[in-house]
Amino acid sequence: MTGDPTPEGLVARRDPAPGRRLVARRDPAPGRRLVARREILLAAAGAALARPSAAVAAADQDPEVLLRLVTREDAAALAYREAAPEPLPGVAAEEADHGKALRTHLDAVGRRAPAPALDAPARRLAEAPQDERLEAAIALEASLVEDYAAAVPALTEPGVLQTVATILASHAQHHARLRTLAGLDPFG
Amino acid sequence: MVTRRGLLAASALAVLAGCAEDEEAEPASPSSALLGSLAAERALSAATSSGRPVVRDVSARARERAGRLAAAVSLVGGRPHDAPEPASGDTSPGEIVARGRGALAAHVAALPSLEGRELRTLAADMVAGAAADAAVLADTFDLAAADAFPGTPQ
Repeated sequence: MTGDPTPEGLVARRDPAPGRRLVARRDPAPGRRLVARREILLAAAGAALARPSAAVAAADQDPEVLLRLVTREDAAALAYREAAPEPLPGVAAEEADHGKALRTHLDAVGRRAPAPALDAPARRLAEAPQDERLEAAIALEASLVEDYAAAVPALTEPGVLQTVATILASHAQHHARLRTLAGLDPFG
Repeated sequence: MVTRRGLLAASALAVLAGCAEDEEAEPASPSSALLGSLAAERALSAATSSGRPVVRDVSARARERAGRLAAAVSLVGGRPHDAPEPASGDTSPGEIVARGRGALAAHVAALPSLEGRELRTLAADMVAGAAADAAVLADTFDLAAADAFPGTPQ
């Protein structure tokens, strides 16, 4: 049996059977350290797990923001359904689509959104008499624009950031259209 | 049969694949991202400088956003005059609506390049303002299309 010391202290030898694997044995020289294959594999796995990753970093920072937004989105969808007929065609479905998109990002980091429930601005719309629904819907959309705009500086992961930005855009459009419906300046 | 060599190769591939995930396309510099937004707002302002009052309102709003963007470009070391400033002229309704949507898309696309509260807050204002303008223009010219995620980069 022959063996050649490697710089790392590994000594490789060819298994007597042809075509078999390389194996490691302890270098007889004092002070040399054995690095077993198992340790190399573990180190590789550890490196893979410990590698700096934008996704991993984002997983630490974005979920709380996403949870808050999906809660608001679910509440808005619920309110528009309860306040039917909806003031803008398809608005409840769009809010539901927003919630689904946010949930996809949450799922990616292993977080679950709570069950949908009305929050204060959504409850105002859901419970508004017919002649106050438009005003309540405008207030709801204004509060959503405000919350999404406030979320943008807090987010890190680019995909999450762009999803949130397009939902912000959607609520800004709802707000402008609802104001137009109410006979108000759309940009107010 | 799974050999130890096969396992090692698979581990190495897994590590390399993990590294590749991190090597996403580098975002544009803040300066060039903001210049893209600035160019889009200048194009929108020029296209909407005449016509119905609501269209001219959009022009004024786009001009105001362009001013804020030009200041931001300077702040990050860029040159605002690198963004083209098209002359006003007759623009078709379809082109006006396209420029409104284009400005919104430019702001959304710029976001990942912009770090820090000040630039991100500016970008959020740009997105919200341009989105409202795009909706009003589309409604004005009867070219609205349902979209739950307006401004999604193509």
